[in-house]
Amino acid sequence: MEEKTYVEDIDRSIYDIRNDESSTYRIEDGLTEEIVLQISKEKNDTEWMKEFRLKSLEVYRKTKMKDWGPSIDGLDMDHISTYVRPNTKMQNDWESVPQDIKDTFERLGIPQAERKSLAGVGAQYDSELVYHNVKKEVEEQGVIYSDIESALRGPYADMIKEHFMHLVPPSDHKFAALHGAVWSGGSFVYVPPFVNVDIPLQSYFRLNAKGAGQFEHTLIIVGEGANLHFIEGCSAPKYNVANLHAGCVELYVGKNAKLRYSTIENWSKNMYNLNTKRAIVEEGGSMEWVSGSFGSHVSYLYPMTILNGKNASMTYTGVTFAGDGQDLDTGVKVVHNGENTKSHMVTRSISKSGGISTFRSSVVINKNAKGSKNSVSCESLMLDSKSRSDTIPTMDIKTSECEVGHEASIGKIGDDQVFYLMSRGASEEEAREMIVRGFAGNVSKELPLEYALEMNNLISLEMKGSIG
Amino acid sequence: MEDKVLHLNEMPSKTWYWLKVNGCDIKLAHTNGESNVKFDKETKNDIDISNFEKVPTSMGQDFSDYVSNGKLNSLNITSDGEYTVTYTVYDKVCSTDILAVKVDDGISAKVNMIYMTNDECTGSAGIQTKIILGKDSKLKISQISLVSKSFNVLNDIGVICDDRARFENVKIMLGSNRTYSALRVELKGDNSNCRNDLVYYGKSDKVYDFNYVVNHYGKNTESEIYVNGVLDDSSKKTFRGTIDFKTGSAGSIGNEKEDVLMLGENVVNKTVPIILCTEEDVKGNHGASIGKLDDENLFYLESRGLDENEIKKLISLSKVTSKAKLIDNEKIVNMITTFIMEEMNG
Repeated sequence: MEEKTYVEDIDRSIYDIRNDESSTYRIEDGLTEEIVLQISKEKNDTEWMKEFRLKSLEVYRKTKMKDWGPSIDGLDMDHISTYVRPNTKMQNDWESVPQDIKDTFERLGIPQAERKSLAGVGAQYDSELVYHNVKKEVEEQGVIYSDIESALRGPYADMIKEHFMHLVPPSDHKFAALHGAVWSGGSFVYVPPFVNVDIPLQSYFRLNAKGAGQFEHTLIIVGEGANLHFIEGCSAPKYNVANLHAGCVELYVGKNAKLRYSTIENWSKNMYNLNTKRAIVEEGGSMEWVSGSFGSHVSYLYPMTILNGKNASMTYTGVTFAGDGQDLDTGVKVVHNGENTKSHMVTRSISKSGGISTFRSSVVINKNAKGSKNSVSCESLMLDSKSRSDTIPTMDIKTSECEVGHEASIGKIGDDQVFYLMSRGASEEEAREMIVRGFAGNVSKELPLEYALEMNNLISLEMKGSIG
Repeated sequence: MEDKVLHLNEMPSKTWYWLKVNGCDIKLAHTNGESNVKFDKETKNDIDISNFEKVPTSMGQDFSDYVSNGKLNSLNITSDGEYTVTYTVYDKVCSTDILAVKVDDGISAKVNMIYMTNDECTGSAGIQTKIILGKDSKLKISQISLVSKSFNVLNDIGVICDDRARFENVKIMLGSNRTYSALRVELKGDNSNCRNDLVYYGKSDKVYDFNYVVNHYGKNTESEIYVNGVLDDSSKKTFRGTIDFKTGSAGSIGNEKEDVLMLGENVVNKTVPIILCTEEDVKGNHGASIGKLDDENLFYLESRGLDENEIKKLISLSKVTSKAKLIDNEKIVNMITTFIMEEMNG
């Protein structure tokens, strides 16, 4: 019992820092045409973007809520502010960022990571980017890494207009439509053909405001033969009211190009995370997803890949950890359109202390995707009987010229495994933590070291006090 | 009278609607006649049918309502034995039947249900079977569809198993234009278990739609689901298989395995193998493999002088007969073999 008490006092201060909101501009709660127009005015939108927002609002109003998945009854848009602007413009030098915001990102390790191991960083605080910078040598390669709003008014405006919410249209689902209406912040990345970006770019999203939403848009275009690793991180302090994250990520992977998109999601446990991520891959291109989901109260998260060109491929490596008060519905989707396309998905999910973890997937192989191959491996670990773990995969195969393999298993930590580690000197808690870390190792080994360490820390935090 | 629209085979846990697997909607003519039901031996028909209202099935309420006025037969099995009941439906008849089966404590029995029609027969047969298995009882129920290719079959079965009861179901789904089949096993008693085998053979524009649900309630319960099938030409199949470990089912094991051989140019296969779990101390596994003839096996058989068509028939036949052998009744296995060979050559 003492261990459990200790868990409640455990130090999460680096994630739970709340900065004062008194100097922020905050739009009134709710969702109306006036609010959407106000956001559009704040963003100094072009006419087409303003019209796009209004049409998206219309779609949002007409789209019904779905009747599957975790309940989002606790999310009331009338009590969410869709736009909160910190009292600063975007900077490209950390020293110019307001002290409290800078301190927050310092504690989260973002500036240090940028210095040590990143080619560029975008840091978003509430609804706006507060920092954006890219290393000179990467810029000299012709790589564009900019906040998306500046890019909408620059030389890449037409490129963005051509791609913006085409892969994820507002009609996709209700919260895609919401995103289309109130989106703010986010990044645009363009990697020219045959450019290899050796070290990763990163965006970090921090939602400080209480009862607010974050709706950033990430658009990445990787040209023919180019190569990029993009890392995304997020967190927020915990409040006793709902917050909402309905971001959107659209990825275009060109012919023979390669994109790796890594995410460590650590939203606070009052967050409704209704994020949409989608990639389209052309001939010979390769898309790699690495995903660790540890936060949020409710999550709906299914990165999707369309393998459009022949010989295109996708891998997905993911881990989800659902603890007390969490209902995380995560998974992956793939559509094979081209011949000889390949997809490989490996996921791990862990549920404990009443957490609910659902793995949901779809594999669609269309008629013209002859010679395609797919494999899915999904393992679920339940750490107690208060929790829940569900696996809901679907395969929709429309050609005989393919190979599809699927395996899934669910179970608990084996007593023999715990016994073995305890016989080697570990306490029971340490033994269970090691087993869970090993179980999630499929993701941590794919991440750069600093992020793998963060992920392991998150597992440790969750596992403390799991005995007794 | 206008056809009825029935919503069938809804999954216990829904998913994305655009996949069109959450359930299916069909149009079916109203019942307009009776099947000819023949038991191979005299049976006790003295079951209190009200006891069977508590036996759930998984084809859905629409189907339960559809068959509610169907012809009722029952089997009250109080001693070991094997029973065969044949349902014969005639041209243009849409029939509905209910079969209630009760197996006493400690009794071991086999029941074979055979659905038959004449050649070129149109119409439909809707059959709902409800079973209550007593403690330590064992029942193997085989359901064999040997109907004409213009006929539709709706087959729904629900079982409640008491402590240490064992339920085995073998389904051989041949013939028919559209087959809708559902199964629900409630492993209520501790140490109860079930094994469910299904084989189908899809040809021309056949449609198969299945919904299997096994609920583990008792401790140390075990379930197995093995599905094997062939899809050729433009046939389509949806299989939903749910294993649900309820809280309290500690020590339970569930295994589900599906193999689909896809042969035709225009086939569509949908597979939804679901595991739901609110109990820590369980083991659940499912696996599926879907695809064409293995190149190596194809090459080997071709090198033995068989052409591709003959190979397809050989492999399809072997899948069906290997499941048919589980019925362990030579006469019925011969019926199945004859039927499938005619179907393949037809």
